[in-house]
Amino acid sequence: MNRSPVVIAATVAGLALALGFRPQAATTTTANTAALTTGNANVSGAQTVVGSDQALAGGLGDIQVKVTAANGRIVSVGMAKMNLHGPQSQQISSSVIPQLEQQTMAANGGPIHGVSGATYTSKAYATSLQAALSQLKGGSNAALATGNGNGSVLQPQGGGESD
Amino acid sequence: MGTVVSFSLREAERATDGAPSGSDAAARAAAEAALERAAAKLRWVDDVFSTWKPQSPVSRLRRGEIELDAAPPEVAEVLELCRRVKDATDGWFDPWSMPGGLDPTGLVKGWAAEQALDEIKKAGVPAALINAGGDIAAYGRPAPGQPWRIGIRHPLAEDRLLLMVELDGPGAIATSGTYERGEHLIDPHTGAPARGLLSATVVGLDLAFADALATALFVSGGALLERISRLAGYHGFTVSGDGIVRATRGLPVALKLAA
Repeated sequence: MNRSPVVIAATVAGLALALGFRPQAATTTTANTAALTTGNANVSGAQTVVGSDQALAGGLGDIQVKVTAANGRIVSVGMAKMNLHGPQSQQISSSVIPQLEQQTMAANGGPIHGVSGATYTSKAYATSLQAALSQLKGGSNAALATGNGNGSVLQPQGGGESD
Repeated sequence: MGTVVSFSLREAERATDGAPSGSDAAARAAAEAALERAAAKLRWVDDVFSTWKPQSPVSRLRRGEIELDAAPPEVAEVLELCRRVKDATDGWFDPWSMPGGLDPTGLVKGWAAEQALDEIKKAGVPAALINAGGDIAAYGRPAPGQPWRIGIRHPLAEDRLLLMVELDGPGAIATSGTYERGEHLIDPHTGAPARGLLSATVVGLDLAFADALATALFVSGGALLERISRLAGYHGFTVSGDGIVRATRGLPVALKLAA
């Protein structure tokens, strides 16, 4: 039995979607997430995606997204770099959240099909975990967003990679 | 600046060696056409409901230039859904009490995503997921016997997941928070920006309701958690500034350790 988990992944970017966003003309969003091939010798076909982020610079500091996957399965999600500043950095370490995170990371051996969070802008999406996940070849999502502010981009991508 | 909507579609199982066949190509073409219709639907919703586009029917309603019956019937449909959520949340969700006038934004995105997903479903695609700017709706299963596994973003670190939620079959997840776009969530009782929580997430059957309920849960500061726990088919959790996660009983959270 051979299955093709992904027929098509597509991304519509640049939609204001009645979200209360003020439309801005000709805002070009480029995903600055760069795919890097990693030498994770233990996992065949492992791929690490690192996205550098400036979107949270005002609040939390510089954060880089790092997702490592093998054959479409996430093997780790973590920070490539995180320079926190402000009171929230102390909040993180003193909270009970890290415990939950630890459990979640341990449960991440299976595929992740999406990431839910507060509504992001097109710009923030480019460096988000969802976007990083979407770049993983053979992953459960294969959409990569590039958008512009004056229209919507529909990018059907032929997928159909078999497990 | 808009947001991003992602689709992920699954095709039917192949019984043989997976070589492309004529029916596969037809299914692919049907799915691609459905995606085009879904995108067109999203653009249409944006044109009708945007409060930022001065000539949208909702903007004209806000200014009192037109009556409801002069707007597309979907506007009345959405406002009826809004009224039901307002009743279910003791007014914590209230598009009629927003500064600047009528603002159904808190429900529209989820509703639009459901409309778009419906285009995919009608085309015969056996399973699909839509992620509309962080709010997710899905039906079917990503693979036989497998649930959709959705990571909930950590409210303080965009590269981290807080926990996982599994959707087995149709379902929806919406998260509200101020960490992406600042203090834009308004307490309808005071007209002031809501503070107190880092994020609020609602899991349920319909994304229009889940979206609005997540907004209400956030602006209530978590007070609505008990109320949501009594809504059939809906669950929720909040993350407060001190890092405490509070959840309704029975939230389908996956915390089991991987083998």
